[in-house]
Amino acid sequence: MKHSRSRIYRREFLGTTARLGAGLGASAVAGNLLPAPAAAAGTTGTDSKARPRATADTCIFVWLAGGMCHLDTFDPKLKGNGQEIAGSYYNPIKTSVPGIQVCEHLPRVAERMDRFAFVRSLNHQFTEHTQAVNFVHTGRVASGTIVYPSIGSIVSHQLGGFDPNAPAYVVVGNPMQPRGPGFLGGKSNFVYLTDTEAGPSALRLPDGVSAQQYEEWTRTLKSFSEPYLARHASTPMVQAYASVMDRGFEMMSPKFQNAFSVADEPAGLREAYGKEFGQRLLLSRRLVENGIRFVECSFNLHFINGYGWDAHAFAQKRVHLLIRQLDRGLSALVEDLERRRLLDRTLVVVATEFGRPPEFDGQGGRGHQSAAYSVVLFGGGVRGGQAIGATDELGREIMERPVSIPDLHATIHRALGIDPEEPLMTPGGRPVPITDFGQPVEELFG
Amino acid sequence: MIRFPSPARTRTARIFVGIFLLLSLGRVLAHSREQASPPPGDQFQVRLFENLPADWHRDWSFEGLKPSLSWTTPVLGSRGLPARISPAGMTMPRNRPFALTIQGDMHLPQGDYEFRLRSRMHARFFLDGRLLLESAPPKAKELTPEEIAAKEAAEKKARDEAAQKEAEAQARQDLLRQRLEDALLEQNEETQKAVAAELEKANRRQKGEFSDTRPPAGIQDLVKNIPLESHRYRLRIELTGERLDREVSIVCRRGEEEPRLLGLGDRIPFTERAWNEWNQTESRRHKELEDAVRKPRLAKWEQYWDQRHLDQARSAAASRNPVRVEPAAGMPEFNLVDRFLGARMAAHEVKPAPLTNDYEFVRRIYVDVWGLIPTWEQVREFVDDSQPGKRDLLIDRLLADDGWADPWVGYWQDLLGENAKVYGGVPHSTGPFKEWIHRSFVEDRGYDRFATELLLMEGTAEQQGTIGFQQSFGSDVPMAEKAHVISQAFMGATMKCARCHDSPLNRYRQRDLFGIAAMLQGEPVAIPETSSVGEVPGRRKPAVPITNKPGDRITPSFVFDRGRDPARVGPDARAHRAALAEWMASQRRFAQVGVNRVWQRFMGRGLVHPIDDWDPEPQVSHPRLLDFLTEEFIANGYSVRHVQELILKSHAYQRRRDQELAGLRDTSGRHLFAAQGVRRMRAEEIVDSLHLTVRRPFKSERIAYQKVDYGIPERTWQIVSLSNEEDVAVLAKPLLQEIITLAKAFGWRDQRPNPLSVRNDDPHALQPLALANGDLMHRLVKFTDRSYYTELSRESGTLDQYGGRLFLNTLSRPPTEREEKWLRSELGALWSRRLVPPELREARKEEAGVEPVTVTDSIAAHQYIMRVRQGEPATTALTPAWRRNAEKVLWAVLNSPEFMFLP
Repeated sequence: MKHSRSRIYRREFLGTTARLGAGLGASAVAGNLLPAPAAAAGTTGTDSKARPRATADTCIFVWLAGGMCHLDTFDPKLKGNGQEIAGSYYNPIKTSVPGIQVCEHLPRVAERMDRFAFVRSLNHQFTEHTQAVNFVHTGRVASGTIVYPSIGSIVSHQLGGFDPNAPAYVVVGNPMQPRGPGFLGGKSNFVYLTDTEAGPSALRLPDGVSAQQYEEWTRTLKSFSEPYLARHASTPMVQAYASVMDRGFEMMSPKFQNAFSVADEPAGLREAYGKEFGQRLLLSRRLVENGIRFVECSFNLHFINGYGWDAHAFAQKRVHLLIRQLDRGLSALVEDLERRRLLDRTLVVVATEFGRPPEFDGQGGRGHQSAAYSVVLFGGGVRGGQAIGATDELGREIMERPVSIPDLHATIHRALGIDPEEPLMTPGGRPVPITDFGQPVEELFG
Repeated sequence: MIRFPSPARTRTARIFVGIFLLLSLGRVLAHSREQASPPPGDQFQVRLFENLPADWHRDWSFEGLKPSLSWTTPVLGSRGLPARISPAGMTMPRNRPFALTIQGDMHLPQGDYEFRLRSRMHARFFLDGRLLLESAPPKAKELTPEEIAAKEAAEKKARDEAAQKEAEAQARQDLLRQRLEDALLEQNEETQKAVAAELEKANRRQKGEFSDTRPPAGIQDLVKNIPLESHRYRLRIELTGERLDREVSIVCRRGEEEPRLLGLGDRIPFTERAWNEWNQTESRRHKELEDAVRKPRLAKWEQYWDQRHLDQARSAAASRNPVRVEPAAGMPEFNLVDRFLGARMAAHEVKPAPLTNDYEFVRRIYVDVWGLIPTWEQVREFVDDSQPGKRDLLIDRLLADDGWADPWVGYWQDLLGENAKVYGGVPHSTGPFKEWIHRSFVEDRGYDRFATELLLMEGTAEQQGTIGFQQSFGSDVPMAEKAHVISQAFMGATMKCARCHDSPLNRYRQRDLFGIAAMLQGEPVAIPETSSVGEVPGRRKPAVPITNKPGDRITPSFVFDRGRDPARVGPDARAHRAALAEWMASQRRFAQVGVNRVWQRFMGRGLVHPIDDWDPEPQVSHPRLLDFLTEEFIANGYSVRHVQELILKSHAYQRRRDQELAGLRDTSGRHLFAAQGVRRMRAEEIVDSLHLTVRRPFKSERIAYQKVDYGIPERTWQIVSLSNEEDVAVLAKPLLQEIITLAKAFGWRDQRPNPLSVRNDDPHALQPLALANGDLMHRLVKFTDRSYYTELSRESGTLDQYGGRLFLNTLSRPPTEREEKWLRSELGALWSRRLVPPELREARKEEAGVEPVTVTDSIAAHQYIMRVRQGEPATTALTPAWRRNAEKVLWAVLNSPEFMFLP
């Protein structure tokens, strides 16, 4: 599948001065004892092949847990009846871009289609949740010799946070394994929160302790530790631990704590984002605004229809409730980012582990399908108003421009200015390229 | 526990001129017939036939068949089989296909009878030799992978729904019980009656009668009506199939009588309750039958190991050279370990670090042996003890306790890739076998037996047998993964490269790894496409050496001893595995690698370093010391505890840490072990010690989901990652997650797809954060009514006493003068005002225990998480001002680097 059109070939190593700052910040954050390679991200191409300029410096990776059905959202087809007639479950509607349709429960996205891009030809080989979730997050088939890092860990490892007092990688959702750092080690791990009202685990103040009191706590800890640290001045590991401790407590600063208070947002805006999922998106926006490099924002609210996006059986009948929240959240996010002039530097990817087949099972639900499904991208240099790739009349097979998971990863890396072929080193010294031969979907840019 | 004698240390043993009489493991493992019990009078006789030809069910010919097991039952029916017991005493699946006969005589009074054969299997019912009813075999249909996936998904949903229904019913009942209690308290009789009636109804719904006469899906229900004379009849059921774990029974009804299960003895009505009771009785009987077989087998297995260890000890004693190293002048020597090290240091004029003081020693030894810091009482007891040899006595006491096994479990989970999961299959997940690791060490079964039992891969998931090691979810060649694990763990051979190509780093070729994989599989193993380096045309040619192609079938081989002949070991996988275990354990390198692991764990660095890479020739810093320890190991039945004891009792282990001395090498670059280097506590030690210092057991949800149940953890090695890849609400277990989050930050692995000997200790910012601000720390430092520090605040007579105990209980040492001053400045002014008089204390309800979320509902999960986060209320026995400051002091001490790094 060749796609050589409109590549921007520029010998430009660093995007902006902001990016240079990003690189320097990285070594100070997340405890990287070695200089983070962010500043060097553009310079490692030893084969002197020029790579495109970065178009974004942060990423919000929206995760629709369970497997969003492409037919019922971004790739509508002939309508089925929820029983023996296969097809989409909802009516299609036109969008503001001629020729592109979406499902009727996505009216706000339809109105703003000029800013969204769909890839309708994503595919992989796993139809079982755990394997698919793992593959979409790591871009590699799980191996028995090492654990591969997630996309979020790779990005934070390569770029670090762009605020020295912020962690590089935050998960708004459960701390599941495929989101983890694998062989990159704990320093590339995420901090997470499952609840938009309270702060993240490990960055929350103790119950009933104010920020001021907490500062006193840390002062006490520091002064208490002094004699011990002085006695072990020549023990590098003790000193290293003390220094990451200092850096860690910087992240507890009120400024950064503030990044988590969604409650500070105007009521009207909170309303515009909608319910829990929208609030998570709003929090994600606050986070990228405050120096987080990569946010994974999970949409896993099972209670709405019983099984979330994993719409087997009866869950299918109420899946539109999820789609409407998605519609509302995404459209509010795109406008909010735009208003704050963050849209151009923030790449948003709306991904899921697989799509679902056009057929309905005995109880009216849908099974799993990974041979063809959709992903949505916007912001961060992505040209909106386009749908790349196409599936057949019932969305079962890809008719043009297949895009693999490594390709999707390469696309994200490309937008962030990371070389998808750069080797990462395992602790055993084995080089593992960032993506498994992934090729960025260049049509998305420019 | 049965301990073999330690002959090396007994005079009599030395008299034996050892003839190395190693019994063959294969002979011990040879299958023996299980005992058949005699048929009693008022019972049906059950006979089990195994390993039948695939088409046996066509003619049901029992002629010439010998039952492999027989037992009796009072009911003409079956609900499964007693498990097979392996020669090593492990529970095993039976050999398919099977047939089962249940037969007996029974008097039936005259009447019109209705017989119903209820069966999920292919079964026949005979009355006096006449075939009355026959059920069809279950439909054997080849399912496509999609159909299997769909079926599994549907089953999962059905299970979820059933679990939800059950949970809701339970919740309704709980609510009713609560209301009933309230009504009782209020003495409101009307409500009492109403609620009691409702509860009774709910009870009936849950446990009561069959509400529906239709059989559940999958059960064939065949009916035959027949008039019978009063007579003693011969009743017989025959059944056959691939699996016999499903139900079969005869429901009999005479005239207008209530239907019942056909059986002797007590009448069993055909109700759900009676049915369930019968099932339970049956499974108890099966357990008894299994135990009757297991006991003698296990005894024989242990006898075999005792004999084997004895023979090895004799042989070792016979060939052993006396230690000819003279003590070096001026070098400290607690035992022979020090003599070997001292000789080298004397030759290089290096003075080792001085001995630790008592406070340093007691902290180090508790954490190293039990994985827990000592309490202040334990510190005091040791430091105040004035008898000579108290260090050896303490070491003996710690090693005699089961607690010595705990730290080894985490070590071997990492090394063997124990990767059990709560939910579904996660890439490369194994079954659980941590309990087996634990028992092996509690009983100090011997390192060779440990390796052998692992390689045999026996038992069931429920008993956490080594069968769990056999699994690797989603892998197309699991035995290659296992070959990699055992080569690294037991032979110190790094073979991970050899998985996909010949190793560029050592001598191992891809076929060496797959040869061991084939030994484990008992047949040639083909190299899959995925275990190869694909050459993509136009791309860079792989720079690694390759001699095998995908699809090559690699026959069994043993790279560590080419003299062995895999062709002669026997026909099946078990024979191959037993042979592999025996070949491996008979290598001297096997024992050396094991000894080196023990040395590394306690000395910070191996005599051979790195400990996983012994190729081509290991660079041993002290070859004679390694020899000495290896001989001690073998002579003592491969006792890890014995080698550990030798090391712990040496001056070398008990020296002060000194980063500079620890790095000293001799002129040939060999380490001198003049001192130990820095050591940070491991994740398990941190989490367990934090709980210990506040004297609270783990507070966690049960680690369970659907059929999987690991119980409530008490130590960190027992926790299992939630593997909540679907973000399922019911798997939101916030208390457990607190523990996981902290443990993971410090290197505990929630995924263990590969063997790991030494964890990465590089500090990163999330570690101090996860410790200082994690929910677990927040919960543990809070002075609640149950916190030990609340008690300490109340019980201590003076602030100095409080401070002294606080320091001993956290840092295992008394405070310095400066620290005493600090304590007085932080807490001095509040000391006299710390207690709230009892009459002013607010009354408070007892806090409810752990409440697991039992519904698939994110809102309920969310509410539960919020409830957990609020945590237990602070104590009202102490004034808020004291409590705040005392909590701050405790928090500061626990988060200080000194807590983290061992003396």
